[in-house]
Amino acid sequence: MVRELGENLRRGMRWGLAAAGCVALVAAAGCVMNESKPLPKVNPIQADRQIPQDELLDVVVHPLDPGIPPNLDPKALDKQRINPDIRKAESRYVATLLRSTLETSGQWGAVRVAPESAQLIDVIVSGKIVESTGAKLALDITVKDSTGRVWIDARRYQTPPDTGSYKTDAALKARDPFQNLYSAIANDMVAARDALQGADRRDIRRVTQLEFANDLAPTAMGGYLAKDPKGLVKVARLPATDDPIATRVERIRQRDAGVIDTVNGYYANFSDQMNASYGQWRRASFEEIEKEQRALNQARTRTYLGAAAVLASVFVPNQCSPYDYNCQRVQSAARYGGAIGGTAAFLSGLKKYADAKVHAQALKEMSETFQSEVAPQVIDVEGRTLKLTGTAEEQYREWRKLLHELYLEENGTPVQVAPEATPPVPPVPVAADAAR
Amino acid sequence: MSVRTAPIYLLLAGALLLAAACASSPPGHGAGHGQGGGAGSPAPSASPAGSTAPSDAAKPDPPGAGAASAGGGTGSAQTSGPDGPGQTSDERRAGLDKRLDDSLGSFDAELRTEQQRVAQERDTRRAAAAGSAAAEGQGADKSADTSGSAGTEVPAPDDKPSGTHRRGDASRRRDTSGDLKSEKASKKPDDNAGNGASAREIPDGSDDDVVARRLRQAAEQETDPELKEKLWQEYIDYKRNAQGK
Repeated sequence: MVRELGENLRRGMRWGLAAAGCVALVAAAGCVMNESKPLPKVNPIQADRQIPQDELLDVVVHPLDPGIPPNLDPKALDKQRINPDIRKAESRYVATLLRSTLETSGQWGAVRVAPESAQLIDVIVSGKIVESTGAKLALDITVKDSTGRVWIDARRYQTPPDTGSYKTDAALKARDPFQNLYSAIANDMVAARDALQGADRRDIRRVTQLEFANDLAPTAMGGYLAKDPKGLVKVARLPATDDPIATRVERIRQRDAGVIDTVNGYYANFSDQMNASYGQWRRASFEEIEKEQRALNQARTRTYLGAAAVLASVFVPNQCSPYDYNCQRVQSAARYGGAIGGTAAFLSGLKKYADAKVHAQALKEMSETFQSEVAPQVIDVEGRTLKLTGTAEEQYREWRKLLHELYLEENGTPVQVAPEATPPVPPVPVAADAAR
Repeated sequence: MSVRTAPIYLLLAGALLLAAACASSPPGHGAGHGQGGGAGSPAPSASPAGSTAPSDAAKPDPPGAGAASAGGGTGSAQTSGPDGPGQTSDERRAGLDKRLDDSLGSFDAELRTEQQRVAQERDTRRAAAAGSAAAEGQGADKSADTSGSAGTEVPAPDDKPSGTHRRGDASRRRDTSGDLKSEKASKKPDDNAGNGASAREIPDGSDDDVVARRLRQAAEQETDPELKEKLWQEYIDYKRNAQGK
């Protein structure tokens, strides 16, 4: 009898151990979290030598494509944690932070943020936001130069945040949580540039200059560029050093740089303005996402375990002989215990799901608040940019016309231009060409 | 046929002769590349309406211009276009250059004004941010107002005065954290009564930023006690993190 009882207990323990093992495994799987630790800091490589003036390349960073999928209803956007207005603000903010990183490296000439229409610059950085929350930033970045050479082709940069930046307001102000990503882009750009010969870098600058001249005075300044077999733009010949049209074009180009500077100022002010609240929103977003994930994992674990315990208590076959009442009592108690414990765990899991929902709701609330704050700022900066570039566009039209007339005068061709007979103006959209 | 067509031929011949005569006469305007004068003399015909010539080009020639063009033999120096009769090419070019200069000058002025405005906005915002930081640092009673602006008006991360701002922040945190308990103990015990959150200490909402304000509002308005509790917890956690505790 005693032996039989011992046997039953051992069997029960085996079952118990097996069940406990399963429970522990599932629990462990459910509790594994992506622990966020402060990341090692990546900084942009600083220029360690004086870069020759004729190799110092200017850079323009275009506001990024916000990456808002078309044809998605608000619910689907919510699910993907995409807030259109925040994304639009981020597209400019991220560009500004990248600009700052490039500028502080001392590796480049003028680094500016300007609209996509600003194409006649030595190096152009563009990209798309793939994911942007407080918990992750992923960008697709493309970098090319004025000759058409692609330096970085839609490369994916992604990183979790450096949680050290989220610790205090001061830390948040001192360093962006995703600074590593910007530094990585800046360092890749330096590597791509350093892979070029000095002559290539000088060519890039000349090509930019001649492309601008060709755009502004195609009659006078056309024909200086050609394409090589690879499709890259090359300098075919150079204008005379004292070419009067080239001199005038250069004066206009200085104004063009002024326009870009001013537009860059708009974007800088915009980023400055949204910086603090955006940082707080990102930190809150990070915390809510973490809590939501944790709650979801716990909920999943508890519901699975609870369900498994209930099912086990119901469906585990009878292990006791019909006359072994002690064994049956132990077994029955185990079944009741399992059913009650399983139900409790299941309910607890459901509660955790509700918790996760609360976190998601809190994040949504915060996003809506921030969205309503930042949307007018985006409209303002875009409005001002359009206004300035529109004014500049008008000026460029006039200057093109004047340059054309001057060219005709200087080449002995009398000006026969009727008011309608304007010189060839490339069909650019308003504010497109102007922002160059 | 010959009888009928003869007058037509005659007319045609007459027209040709007339045309030849016109062609051989000195041009009043048009491309006068020859040495002959006329370029320097003010022609009676004004430049065509809508001509692209600058207004300066339509002015009568200066006294010396005629002599120069008369003496010059090159066509380019004496070209007289439809827009600038009686002007030399150099004058027209000078006129066009002046127009370009004027245009560049006025554009420069516009651009400068705009750049000044941008710089002024930046300075104003930074000054306001520095001011609010200082006010917060002193633990002023106006914390509600300054926190409203702190949400949007802060210096850039690379801003130089941010160090002072941070120090201000730190002291503010110390101050407010010190105030919390006393406020709770003295005058705010009933604030949370009926909020469903009396079990814990709800921070004073006077220095809430935008996010915290929203959370607090959501918690206050929530009717489901459980959800309300969670929202209050969110609010407290957020405040604690925002204050760097």
